[in-house]
Amino acid sequence: MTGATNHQVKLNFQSVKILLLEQSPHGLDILSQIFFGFGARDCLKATTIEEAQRIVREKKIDLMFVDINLKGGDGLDFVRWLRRSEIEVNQATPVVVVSANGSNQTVIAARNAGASFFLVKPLTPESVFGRVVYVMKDNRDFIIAKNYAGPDRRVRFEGVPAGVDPRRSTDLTSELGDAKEPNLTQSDLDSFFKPQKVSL
Amino acid sequence: MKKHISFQPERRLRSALRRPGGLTADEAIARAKQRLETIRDSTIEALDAKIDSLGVQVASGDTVDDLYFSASEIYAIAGSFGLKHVALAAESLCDLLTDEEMDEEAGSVAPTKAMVVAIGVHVDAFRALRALEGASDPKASEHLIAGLKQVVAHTLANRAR
Repeated sequence: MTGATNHQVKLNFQSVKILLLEQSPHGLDILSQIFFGFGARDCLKATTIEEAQRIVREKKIDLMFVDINLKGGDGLDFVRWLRRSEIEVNQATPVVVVSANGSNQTVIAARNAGASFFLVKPLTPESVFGRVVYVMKDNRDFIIAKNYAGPDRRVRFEGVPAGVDPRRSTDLTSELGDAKEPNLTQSDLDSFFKPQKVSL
Repeated sequence: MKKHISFQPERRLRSALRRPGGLTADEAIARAKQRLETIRDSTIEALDAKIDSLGVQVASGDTVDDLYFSASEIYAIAGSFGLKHVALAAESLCDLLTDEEMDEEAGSVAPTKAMVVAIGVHVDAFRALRALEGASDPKASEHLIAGLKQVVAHTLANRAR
């Protein structure tokens, strides 16, 4: 259980509308059963980006869990589309990106796509609940700029935005490639999304 | 001229979660675990089928990316249901299929002969680990996982030459 969770505070999931985007039907079952256990009643499931886009156009969603690893697509494409979608009720909805690959490179790519938080698989009730608490406490502004749309990510400079060429040899690009290092720990992952502004 | 727009979004999730009623963290987690138990048997049956289908995927020329997708699915299911050693074996297979030396094109073609052999070793290990699940002494499972890591290291080292 995450140390950030107050075990006595009650959370009411009954009216929370959740979108789950995951290619694997078994992955969807695991995630939806976890949320139903929390008391949620409204979990909308999508296995493709197109399905998720249709749901987002038609319904007001309070929370999204998006898997990066989709067959024939990339969950981060959906996140980028959402953040630029101008669908007023959902554009700034919190998105938790999930992946079995928790490398530094993958986490940075998720953050630059506009993800609110990152959660590394395998998913458990403890890890999912802890992440929802993080999302609930998130107070970051929502930013719409030329090269980025999503939660304020001004924590520290980790790379150039998508579509911009790096100026220094040490600059990281936002292109997602093969993993080059071991997965980060969940606390490392959280530090990338921690809402702490720096002086600019 | 301002280069970006910044605003505080509506916190609908927070408002909904704070409505009267609901569950404490301990209650919510306990109930979620109970819900997961209701799908344990069917999901683990699907996991076994997924392990069996890895060999079929290789024989039918599926790409490295397709095989990675299956390996990561095995990892996610096994991890969520506490099948620790199966999850570790799946992680090893994922490492084989996402090696840093591999260029982007390598994911969209069938695996090399050496990789096919290594995948076959993982499939056999998955079956053995499933049979060993719940054994009082984890040494045999740990030994198998250590062997898989050596297989992956050997396969990748030979490819790099």
